[in-house]
Amino acid sequence: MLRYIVSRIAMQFAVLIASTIIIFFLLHLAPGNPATLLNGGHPPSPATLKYFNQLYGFDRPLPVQYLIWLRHVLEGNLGTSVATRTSVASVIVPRIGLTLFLTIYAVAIMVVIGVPLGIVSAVFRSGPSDFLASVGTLTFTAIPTYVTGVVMAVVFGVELQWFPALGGGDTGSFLTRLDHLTLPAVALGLSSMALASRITRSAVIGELEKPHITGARARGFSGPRVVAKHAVRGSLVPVVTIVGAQVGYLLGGAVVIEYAFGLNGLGSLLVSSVQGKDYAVVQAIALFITAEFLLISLLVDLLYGLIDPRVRLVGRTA
Amino acid sequence: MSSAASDVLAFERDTSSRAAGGRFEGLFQKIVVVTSAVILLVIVCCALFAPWLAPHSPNTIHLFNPYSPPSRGFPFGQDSAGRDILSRLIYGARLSLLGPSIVVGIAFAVGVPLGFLAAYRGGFTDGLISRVFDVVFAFPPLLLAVVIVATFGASFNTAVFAVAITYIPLMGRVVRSAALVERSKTYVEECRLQGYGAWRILFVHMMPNIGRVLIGQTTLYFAYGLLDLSALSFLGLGAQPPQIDWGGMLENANQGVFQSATGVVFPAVAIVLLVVSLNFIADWALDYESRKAGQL
Repeated sequence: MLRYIVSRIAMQFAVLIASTIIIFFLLHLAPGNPATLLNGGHPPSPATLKYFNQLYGFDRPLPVQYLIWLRHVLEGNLGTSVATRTSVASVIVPRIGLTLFLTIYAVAIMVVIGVPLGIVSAVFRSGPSDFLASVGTLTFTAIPTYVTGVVMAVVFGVELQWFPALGGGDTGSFLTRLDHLTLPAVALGLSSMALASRITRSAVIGELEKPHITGARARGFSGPRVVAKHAVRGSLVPVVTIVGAQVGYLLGGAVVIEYAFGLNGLGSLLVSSVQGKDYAVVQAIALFITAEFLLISLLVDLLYGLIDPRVRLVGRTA
Repeated sequence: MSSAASDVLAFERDTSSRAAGGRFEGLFQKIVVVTSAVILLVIVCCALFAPWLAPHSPNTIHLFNPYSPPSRGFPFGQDSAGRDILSRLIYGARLSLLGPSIVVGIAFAVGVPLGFLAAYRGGFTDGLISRVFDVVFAFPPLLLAVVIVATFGASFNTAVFAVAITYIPLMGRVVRSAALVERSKTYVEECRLQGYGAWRILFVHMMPNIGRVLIGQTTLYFAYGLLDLSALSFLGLGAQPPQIDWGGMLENANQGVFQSATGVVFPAVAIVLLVVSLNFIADWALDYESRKAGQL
């Protein structure tokens, strides 16, 4: 198991390094020079240029520049925001909480509702429900988060006024926040929930037809016990895969949802920074979300090892 | 979003169609697929014949009646600047179809040769190409597109390019795994013994066998490309006015959602209708493939 853990960590670390290289070099692919880009799209004055050169070494070879940049990032110095003229870290850090809250809330909706729904519909499957399940999930997975978000804001926020339609309840207590983020989280998590329940359903159906389930039933175990202890356990790998993959999708989708609901999270900051050409902030948020995504992929990989002992042996001979 | 969903749908297709004996078959499937094809055809016609079909000019502003509800002259109502929503929807079909077409075109032109090369050559080439794909997959899908747009400036062209970049590895990976299966078959061995070159084997001999999977996946990616491009437009990072696309219309309607909630409905329905239809068509194409494989 240790060997498996180490190899997964090494792998994800290599990918993380590669992605920082891409994020860094995109700055150099942009039209104009990087100093102009970091200066909000305006040509920097000689003094500013000198400052940038001193800080990032823009007059030195590219690989050196990358290492300088990486050192700054590791030290937590992400540059200066053109919009606020303060450090990027001070702009970003206060917004992380909301984005994490929203994402975790959406993941919870997907897991707590989607997975049991899939198990139940696998156990009680029949002709018409099979048809409904596939048409229903194909339809739900096709509805993009921004449509769900806008429609839900209109119906539940503006017309029915069950939940607040705008704002994140930033200053309030946990419950205020929960209230404000319910609509966005449902909008964000809905299609993932549909997909998760669909995958769970077919994985459990596949598992229920295996001989070991028949064996368990033959030994007289009760129906619920067979499902809970035998079928669900055996079908966990695809379920974990889809949940892990969907978390990545939710991280990207949160950007859109925050914008649609006017929430002060990382995503809406990313959008306004792109529109306002605040490149240092864009870079920092991209790094943060990518690192978050890779961390989750790593956790999913490690979960595989826990669920399915065969996975731990990959790469080992005999 | 696209990557995960399509992967898992592909996985799910494998397991469930075997386990549950096909998902929805016969008459139901025929009705759904034919309806989808008709919807697709209507939207394509809107795009092609927009100037003849649209009752008004899509960018004519009527400042005195913003957010007018549907009326005789304006069947879908008017938007924040009093423009005719129906005409904008019809004209919007153009970019909304053109964008994803270019995305899958680029993904196809680059991804297919790369994926095939990886499967066919194996070893170092495969490792290299697969690692490059992995790095692109390291970013949450929409995020990479947003960062690329940040780098090159917001426009329709940049958005299409940015989304296309994220679809190349998706396409490449599908082709790679399909070609890996084909490569081990005897007819490919035979072709090699004949001394045929790699590209000839791919295009003349393997393509007909993986064609249907490719068409199904391409349809799916077209749908997801539309969703991603609309998302970028919704964020104001895609097509810029006076260009019209449905994502941008949704954004515009959303800004004025407290004045008129109906304006949101039409572009939303248009996007969802198109995507759902494409999904059903893709599902049918891929499902056919797996059924055929099951019979053999």
